[in-house]
Amino acid sequence: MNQSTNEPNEPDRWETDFRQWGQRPQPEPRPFFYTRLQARLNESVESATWLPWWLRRPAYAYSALCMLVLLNVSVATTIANTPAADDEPTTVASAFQSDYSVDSTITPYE
Amino acid sequence: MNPFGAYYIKNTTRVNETVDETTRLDQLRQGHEPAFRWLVDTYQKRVFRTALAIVSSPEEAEDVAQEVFVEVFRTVGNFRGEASLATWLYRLTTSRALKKERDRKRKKRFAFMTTLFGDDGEASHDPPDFQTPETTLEASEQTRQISQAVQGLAESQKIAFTLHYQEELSYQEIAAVMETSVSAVESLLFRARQTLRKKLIPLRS
Repeated sequence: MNQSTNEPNEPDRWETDFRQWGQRPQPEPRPFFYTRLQARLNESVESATWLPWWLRRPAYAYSALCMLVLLNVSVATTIANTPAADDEPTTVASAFQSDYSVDSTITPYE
Repeated sequence: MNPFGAYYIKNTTRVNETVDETTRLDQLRQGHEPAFRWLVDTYQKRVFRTALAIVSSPEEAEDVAQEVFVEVFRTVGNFRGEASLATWLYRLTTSRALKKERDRKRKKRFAFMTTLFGDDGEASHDPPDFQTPETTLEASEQTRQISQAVQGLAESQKIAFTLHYQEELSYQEIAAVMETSVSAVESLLFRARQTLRKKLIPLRS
């Protein structure tokens, strides 16, 4: 059975307790709140102005970042597509040729 | 006695308050520093107290309060005045305080995970019962129990409960702050009271 039906004043008591809780003594902001707020506002203005104009606008900053990434990707792709140098033998046949100083143009026809 | 006198005075006062707020808003949009100072002086305690009900320490509550006023300073030009200044401030306060609290809990979970991998992280602990020298003597045990129980409420219930019992806002005002309906606010408060009673009855018996 619901306890509140046995004690009709129960909801009133809770309501009183909750209202007392709402009126409890509370701490206040530290002194010179406005002074600290002004300092914070000035700091946020200064930190925005030292950046170059093209970084202060997020769209430009992201575009610059994308261009940098694309540049790196294109350089990496170019390096990957460049054929490797023939300084070292890369196949078994070429290793044989380099070991026995065999002319590579003759070997396929022998 | 003129029977319409009281009605005239009451409504003239309301009209005057609306006109005052409109004037203040215009001054704020123009970057009028005394108007901004008035705003901060008038609302800083309310903003601070509301934030303190959501975050875990007075330092974080003050941080939230400062962030709220910085945002007001930056965005008052875009504020169309569809809600009152107080409603707007409460809305900013609750959303920023909730964000800060969620960030704190996320960092706490991350710190716990890093300690599992052997990093010496900051010692994590549950947020303590908030007490200050000024409030310790005056707060009764009952109030302290209710404060602890309120911290355990769901976010929206906590906000509705705090705005109603601490800030003494009406259901309509709370609905405007939380951008919801009056019936939703009634439901939140009903569930908050039920949850608090369930938690507090064992402590009282």
